[in-house]
Amino acid sequence: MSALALLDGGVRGKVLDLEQILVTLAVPIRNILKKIPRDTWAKVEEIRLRQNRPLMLVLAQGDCFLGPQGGMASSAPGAYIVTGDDMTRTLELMSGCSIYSFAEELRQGFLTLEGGHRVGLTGRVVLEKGRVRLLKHVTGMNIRLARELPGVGDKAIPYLLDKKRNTIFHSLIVSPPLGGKTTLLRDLIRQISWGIPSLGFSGLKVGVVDERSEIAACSAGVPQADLGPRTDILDGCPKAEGMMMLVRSMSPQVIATDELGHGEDAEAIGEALHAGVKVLATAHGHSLDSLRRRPSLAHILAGGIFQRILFLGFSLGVGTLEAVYDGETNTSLLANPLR
Amino acid sequence: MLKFTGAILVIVVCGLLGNDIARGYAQRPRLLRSLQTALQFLQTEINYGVTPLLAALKKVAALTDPQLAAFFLLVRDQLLLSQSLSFREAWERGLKDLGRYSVLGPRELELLLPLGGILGCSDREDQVKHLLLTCQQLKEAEMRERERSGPNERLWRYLGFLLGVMLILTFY
Repeated sequence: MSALALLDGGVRGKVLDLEQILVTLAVPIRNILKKIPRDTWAKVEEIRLRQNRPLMLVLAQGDCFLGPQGGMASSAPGAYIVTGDDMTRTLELMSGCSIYSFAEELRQGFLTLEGGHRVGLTGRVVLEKGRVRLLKHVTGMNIRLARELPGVGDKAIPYLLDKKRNTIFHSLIVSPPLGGKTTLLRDLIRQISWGIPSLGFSGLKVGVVDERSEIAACSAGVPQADLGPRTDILDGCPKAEGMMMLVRSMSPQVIATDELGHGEDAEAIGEALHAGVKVLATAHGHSLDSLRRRPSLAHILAGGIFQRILFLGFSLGVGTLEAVYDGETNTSLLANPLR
Repeated sequence: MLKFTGAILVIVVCGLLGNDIARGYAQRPRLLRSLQTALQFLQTEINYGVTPLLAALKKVAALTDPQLAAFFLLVRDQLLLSQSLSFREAWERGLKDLGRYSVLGPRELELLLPLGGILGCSDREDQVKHLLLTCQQLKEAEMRERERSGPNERLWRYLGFLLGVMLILTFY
């Protein structure tokens, strides 16, 4: 195990291999981050690089600037200022000197590092016929640390299981950004795939459409995260197309995917439903109303497709299960938030 | 007897030197041709295979002239071994090395230098444009070398021996 592999939170005993992230950063930034204490890393959610502005960490309780010696400061003076060369070198390292092979990801404004860590990118957008063709002069990066937390789904899984039929309900996990949707989804997939003997639930075949390589953190198609023995993964595949491919070829009992949001996703979900496949998905949002106002999701919700809608929030910390709704009756199934 | 042996030695050494220079003239256009083929292959890997650059360099090395293969592999190995070297730095180091062990001169190497700041840094379309431009420049350099190499090669092949003979006549 890498010398920089750290216990994540020290509670669940899962490691975060920092080396995977550090090797993709320009040397000056790498050296600063190496000086950060181990216990601080357990709380880090994002690393923020903005050209000509201070290097920042986003922690569970807020953000802070980083000094050249790795020390934290609440104000900008004395912080390390990220240079243009740092940005260029970091992008070169992240892309393996092959930006051209990440054209589609750059067009969508993100890259995924080994380990499933997603890097959001901003900079100068080049348009072609009114659509984004590519992103050049990358001047902002948001490195989101992906964490695998086995057991994080324990609180949610009883609400998803249809024990009579040994299957799950069509379920949608909803939270604002950084609410823990993907982490929960990953663990739910793992549990559904392995089965849960304590609840008398046998494992199901799960098909995962991992458009942004965040769920399974695939390297050359091989998942680095444990998604269970009955899970098939389409890595880097558009959601709608991927769902159809899985239904046609892999006979899944459950299809799982991250971040619904396009019109064609709704269509593909409809197809999966008619094929008798259960759907487990996530979406950005903070309330039922906010979901209904999103045109791409309104149609799905109006159709009453999802039988369980789970809301995550921050009331008891990141990943708190705030509410669970029965999608058919719109009644709440959870009395108090759970963490 | 000693004088005679010395004279033969001088002639042979001068002849070999002349031959070596002549071989350089003959090899340069051939190497420039191979370089164009290698860059065209690299272009195909980037444009159609969307192969990551380090893997593409390895593929190109397997199909090209041994001297050029060593250059491409050196650039790749430096990047794999060092986590801090930029592609431009690795490329420049590779070119410096190529200049030492191949017949390519500073003028030819200069044509390759800009690729260090371009390869891998942009979209496929841009990569292809730059590689085509470099190939075009290398083609022109190859034509120039071909025009020069014929007479120069013959000249140096004889000139070496003649120089040896002249030295003998002058000093013996």
